[in-house]
Amino acid sequence: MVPFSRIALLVQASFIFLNTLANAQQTIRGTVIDSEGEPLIGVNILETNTSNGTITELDGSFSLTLQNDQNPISFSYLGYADKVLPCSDDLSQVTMDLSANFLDEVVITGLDTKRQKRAVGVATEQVDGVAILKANAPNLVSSLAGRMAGVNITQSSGVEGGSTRIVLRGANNISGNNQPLIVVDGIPLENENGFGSTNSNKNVSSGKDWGSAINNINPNDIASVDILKGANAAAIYGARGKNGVILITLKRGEARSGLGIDYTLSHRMIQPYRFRSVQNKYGAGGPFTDTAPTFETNADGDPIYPTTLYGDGPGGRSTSESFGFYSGAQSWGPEMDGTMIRWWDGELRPYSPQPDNLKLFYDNGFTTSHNLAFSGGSDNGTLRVSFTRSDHKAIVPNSNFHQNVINLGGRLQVSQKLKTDISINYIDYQRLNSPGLSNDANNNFESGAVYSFPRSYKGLNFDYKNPDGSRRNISNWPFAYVSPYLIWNAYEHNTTLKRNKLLGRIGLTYDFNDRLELTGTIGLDNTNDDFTTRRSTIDNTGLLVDDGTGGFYNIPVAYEKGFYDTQVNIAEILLSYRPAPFIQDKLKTTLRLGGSRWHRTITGIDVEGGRQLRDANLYTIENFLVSSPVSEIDFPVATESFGNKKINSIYGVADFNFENYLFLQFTARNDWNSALPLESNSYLYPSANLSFIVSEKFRDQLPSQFSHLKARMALSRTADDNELTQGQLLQLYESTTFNGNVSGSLQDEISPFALQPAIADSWEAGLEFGLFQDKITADLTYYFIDSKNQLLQSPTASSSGFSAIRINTGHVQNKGWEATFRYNHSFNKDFIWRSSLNYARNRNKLITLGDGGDILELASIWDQNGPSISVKAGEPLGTIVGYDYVRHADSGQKIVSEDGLFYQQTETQVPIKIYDADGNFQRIANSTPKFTGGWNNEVSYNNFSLSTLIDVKWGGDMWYGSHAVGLQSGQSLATLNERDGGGLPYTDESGETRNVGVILPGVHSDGSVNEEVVHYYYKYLNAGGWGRVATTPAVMENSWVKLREIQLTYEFPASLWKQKEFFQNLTLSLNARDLFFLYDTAPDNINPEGNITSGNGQGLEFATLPGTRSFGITLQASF
Amino acid sequence: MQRYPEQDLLASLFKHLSDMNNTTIKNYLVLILCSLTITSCDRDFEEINVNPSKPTATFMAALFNGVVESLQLTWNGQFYVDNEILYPATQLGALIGNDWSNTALGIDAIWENYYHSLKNIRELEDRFDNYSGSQEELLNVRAMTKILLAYKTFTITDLFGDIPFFDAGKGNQDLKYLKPKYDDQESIYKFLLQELQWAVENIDLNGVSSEGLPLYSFESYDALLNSDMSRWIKFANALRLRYAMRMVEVDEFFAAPIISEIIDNNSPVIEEGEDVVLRPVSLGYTKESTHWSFREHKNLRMGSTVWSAMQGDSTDRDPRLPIFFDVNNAGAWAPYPNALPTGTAQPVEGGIPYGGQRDGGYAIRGIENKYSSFQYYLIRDENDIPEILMTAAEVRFHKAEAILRGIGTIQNKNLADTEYTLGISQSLKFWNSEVQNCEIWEPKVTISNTEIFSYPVAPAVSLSNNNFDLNLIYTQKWLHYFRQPREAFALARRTGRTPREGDALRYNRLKYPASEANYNTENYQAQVAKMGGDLNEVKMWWQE
Repeated sequence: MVPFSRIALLVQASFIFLNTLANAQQTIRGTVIDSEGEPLIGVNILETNTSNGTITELDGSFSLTLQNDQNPISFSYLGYADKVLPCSDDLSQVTMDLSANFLDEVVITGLDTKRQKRAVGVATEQVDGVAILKANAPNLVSSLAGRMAGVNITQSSGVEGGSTRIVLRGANNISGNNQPLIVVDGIPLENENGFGSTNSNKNVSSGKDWGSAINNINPNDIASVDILKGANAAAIYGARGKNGVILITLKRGEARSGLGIDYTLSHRMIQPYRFRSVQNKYGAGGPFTDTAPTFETNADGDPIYPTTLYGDGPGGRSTSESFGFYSGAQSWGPEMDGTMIRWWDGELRPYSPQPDNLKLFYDNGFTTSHNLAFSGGSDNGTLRVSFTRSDHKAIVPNSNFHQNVINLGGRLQVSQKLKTDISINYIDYQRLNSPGLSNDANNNFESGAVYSFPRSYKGLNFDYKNPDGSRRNISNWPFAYVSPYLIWNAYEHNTTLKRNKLLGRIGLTYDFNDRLELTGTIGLDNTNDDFTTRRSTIDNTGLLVDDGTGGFYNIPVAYEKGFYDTQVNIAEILLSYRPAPFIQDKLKTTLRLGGSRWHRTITGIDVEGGRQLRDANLYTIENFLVSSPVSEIDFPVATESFGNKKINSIYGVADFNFENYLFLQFTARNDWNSALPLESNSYLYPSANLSFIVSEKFRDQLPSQFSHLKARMALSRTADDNELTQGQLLQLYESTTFNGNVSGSLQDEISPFALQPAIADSWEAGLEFGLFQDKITADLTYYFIDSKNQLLQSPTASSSGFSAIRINTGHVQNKGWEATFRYNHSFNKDFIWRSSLNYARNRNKLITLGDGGDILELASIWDQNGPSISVKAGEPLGTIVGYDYVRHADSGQKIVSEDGLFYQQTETQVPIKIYDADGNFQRIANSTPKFTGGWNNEVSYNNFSLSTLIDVKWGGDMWYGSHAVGLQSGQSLATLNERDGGGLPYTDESGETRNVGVILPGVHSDGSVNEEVVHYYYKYLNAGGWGRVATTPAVMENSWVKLREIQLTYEFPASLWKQKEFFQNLTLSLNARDLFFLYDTAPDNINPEGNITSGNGQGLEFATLPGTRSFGITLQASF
Repeated sequence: MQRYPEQDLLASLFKHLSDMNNTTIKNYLVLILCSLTITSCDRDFEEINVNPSKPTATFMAALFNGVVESLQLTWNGQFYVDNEILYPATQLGALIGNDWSNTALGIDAIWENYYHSLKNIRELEDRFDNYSGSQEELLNVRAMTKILLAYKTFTITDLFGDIPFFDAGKGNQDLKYLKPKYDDQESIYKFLLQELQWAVENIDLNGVSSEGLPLYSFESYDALLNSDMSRWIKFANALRLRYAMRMVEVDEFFAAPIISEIIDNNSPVIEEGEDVVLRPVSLGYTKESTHWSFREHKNLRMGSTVWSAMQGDSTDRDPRLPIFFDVNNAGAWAPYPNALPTGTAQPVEGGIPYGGQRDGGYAIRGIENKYSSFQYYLIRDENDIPEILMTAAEVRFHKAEAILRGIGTIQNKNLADTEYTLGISQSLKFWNSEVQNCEIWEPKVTISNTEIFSYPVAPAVSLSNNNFDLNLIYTQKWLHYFRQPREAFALARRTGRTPREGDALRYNRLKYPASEANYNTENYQAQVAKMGGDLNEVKMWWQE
């Protein structure tokens, strides 16, 4: 390697070069200030027609010795309008104004660099911290929803604190992470949880969602968020930037008047409002006969609460055989007319409608946060210290979290040449219970409710505890099969997450002179997670946690303790050189060269076990009973997790600015990744982008309506190494013990024969223009992303000896349009209207999965007993795969059995969920939306401003699992029709004729139209839910238009307190979020945004929590 | 495949860019910047890039131990295939209701169990081939591995027919083996029988090489036969006899010499007390799967066909009957009909005869239990009742059939009768000793010595008394296979002459698992086309 001294030599050489200055003739002196009189530091001052220039000092002062006193002096400063003044003017105090020009707005594009919009050849978006704070959203990501074209946010079913999925443009990765890299003050954030398996993307049927790390970033501390949508913009991030980058810049404080104290209070009340709509006429019971439902009677002849769930329908086939899983929520029983009947506990109670029984579990939640920040600045720099306390109570009982955040940010001019930049965040987060995902009835109350609350359910088992603290075992609970202990589990199975996170960086910049500067940065992102699960003992001895009576709701683990430690350390060095302009000052260049080292280690240990304790109520690992009679986990089992990965990088950026209308940027980054084989661990990621300000070059040729016109184009290669983890190349073994000896086996996954990072080659082109003095502006982008070499765990035929292979062969293409239109009109100086409309349309396609199979399952609910989201070559990602009806070859109509009772389904004897009998893909629908968009309006009048945000998702299908169960169990309103006599005349077994018949629309296998009138339950009961039943009835379009946000802000007029000089600023915002859907296609009033996962398996809904809206107030006061 | 025009543009551009990878520009950059970051760009990567949580090596004996471990029947295989398909198909049991429609789970389990252990056998073969010492040292362990391969492969091919074999289990060796082609059953049979012959001929009982060195041994890692090479020879010969007999209807020419070698040359085979079984208690595991497969399945009962074969009259009731049959809730023997006259409704049956409550209250079978279930203890035991691979009694029945038919040896009815009689008494002894060994079985039924000698010659059972009826041999072998339904299934399919009520057996094979259709598509489709459909009716090669 090159010795360090050579670098020193290079540096020295540049000194000599730069210090060669021409003879001086006249010296000018002065100060540069902004419109408020504050000094501007680092303003570029240049004697035009020469390379002679300087920058302003900390107090805004400058002095420049001119070569020729005829040359005008130019002043330029990022974000401010350029100024050119003859040197004959009074330059003692030069005032620069904020740039009014759209193109001069400043964006941040990586490597901590601010650039004017005009210079940027890629699509970027920016949101400032104030807007995020005002949005008062559950987390930073949610606050972005609907605001920007191509920024897609989805929330998994659950309560606040859970993961929010953000995908820029389309999904590039088949099975890996599709979310962008999040960079906080230059430090890549570990957004994925370090405790992998408990929160895996694929397993949507169980597990808990503890939220992603970005939730911990405190909105109060955010100065701005810049979104680099395309891979092109993210090229500088090399092996981690493939999905785009979100750059978060935290506040650094500022010099200001007043005491320098800011206080912000935000409070938000969260209200569950959108419950599944259900019928309130018929109660529990199942239609085992086709006669009218009646009460069963006990030995005394009294009517009793329906107890029988399973029975044989006409023809002797049992209901569960005919219709799949037949749950306790069946509501095909007698009418709830208030008849006094004997309940299962022997009490006499009226059998009456329970319209609110689905709301029993929910209550309003709230989030309150207080932020106190001190900031100030002087000639030596700026500093801001802030403390934030947030408290949250979820809409479900027994779940809450709180967070304390201390943030410190500042800049310090250590000496003339040396400055530092500091940002440190300490986060202390504690959460009790994260309501579980989707189908896990132990964790997700709604999942239990969908299956176990019939319409006559009165919530009697909410009284779940005996006076002595033991579990109240409900005897004779009629439908114990579902979950007799749902309520007990909700309150008495407690998991606490304690997280300590330290995120910070210190940067040191040395200015050799005004052309050369060197910055060194060290950063870290350390997270400690501590999970503790305690399940209360169910008996009064305090020893037993589970007695095995809960069927498959048994949880044989009394206690679980897990520690996970994720440490990321980063060191960076960046050399910036700004040579003197070339070609008669027409070409300005900036060259940057950097290197970085990123190192992540993960260690974790998790111990669980025992359904019995030795000593009562003592939750320690030692106190697990080592063996218990009927348990699958008998003794403490410890699992360790590891991770160790390094990426070393070097990168270079060259910026060229030709006459301020043509900008060209080249970037190149080379990564060395420790997870790759030694011989191929080095990868180069180049990119180029071009920005051409047509309106500057061809001002005269353009119609006068155009206030600006910019064309841009970018081309890049980036990559994704998320899937590359330590030690994947090695052939691994599994080992167990058999007959007292080691028993070894090759692991079932084939290690990669070769390994490389996933690569995305992409290009984009865009046009930005403004009309009528930028009253109307537009930004149009077309992009194409070719994403190859994706590392897949591709399933293989077992006959290969293995069940999967890790292989770099996945290939996906995305292309799409993004458009943003903005309108900005001041009617007068007090009345301003701003409106912006965004639209994004992405098309993606799986080109190939490569050498593995042709199809890959991304997520499934209930494995073979429910639908899944899969991908297949030639299809867009997100195909809903499931069971369909057998259809007539000619007419395509559903085939009905000869007796008119059942639709035929694709044969269930062989597992052809994925392939039908001919080996064809049984594609039901696709969940990819046609387009997404948003419309934001803001009206300001005097000190008031009112803004609204409408968010749109159009097209794409969803399997509504709750609807499937609603139909099958007779809970849906749709099931009332025939029961209420709206059917066809049908004569039942008893000879009675009632209007309860239906004809299943379809044809018999010979093609003749079905005309058999059958009992209504053949129409509904095979609609779905768990089992090998048709998926089709519950697959529907998922389009919606949502009123996402309304904000009313009042800024108290300064005149109110100007004299007292107490308040600097006082602002009050009222905010309502997620108010209602203006339009949606969801059946049964199910929450249209209720995806069961925030992973790649988008398009499945099941047991979604009720839709929530929130009302908030934000008060900001500055002193 | 459709290509976007953009893709071509990108491809050409990036070709140039990636060529940059090796240019001096890049090297220069690397030099400068690596020096900036002070040290080499991939220093210590080799140390980092290891997997600390799983072993990266194992030794041959451990792999072999794993293969033996894989002989255990799978949970879902017992539930969805043995209990749901094979017992009703062989009529060793009867189903009281519809199946659970999840046959796929059982098929997957059986298929994966085989192929996932096949990869370890391939790994062993590979390590043998690359062994640093002399190949002679490996004679015994090679033979043992071949015998297990044969056992496992015969079992699987007899359920599915043609299967991927010669290229299978090698997915980690080369991408081309990810999708192994199908091999016809005949070639698999003949290959494996040759391998067994190799094993028998090459096992060195002295365990010493020509250079006087001890042969490589798995020692106690052989959980099956504890590296007793003479027993391995006997096991191999018994397997040769079993599978040679299985193919006699279609290729007697190939099978006869094998049978001849074993019978006429008196080759060592498994004798009384040398049964090859996996007995959980001796191997330190508990076998929960069997009870689970009955308890959760619920729908299996003892059928009328077995009843007819065992009940005899008052004097010659099969002594194994109380070992196999449970009484119903009313304490009576009541077999469930295996076949019903058309138009007759299936009798309703319920109860909880396999429920765990019987551990505490053996007599509690549930009020709905009207028919005899499988003997609770037999399927409840997790420790003592073994999984059976090969028994002495079975060998006797094979010999009896070969001698009676004169296949590979001279037809000799009396000698056949002797083997047959020995077969039955060894079967009785076998089942009796299982009961006596079973700790939970209380009170124990016993088969007396008198019965062991008298029952095989009882009027209805005796071969000589019944005109040397071959069917008697099949019946007894079938009964003996009571807990080996896969063997009984093979016997029923080959002969078509095991006891049966109702229609003839048309269910001949399991369908291939979905993973084949999905991930080995071309080979699967070619195979399906060859068979005329992936159907249950397609016959084995060895079926007439």
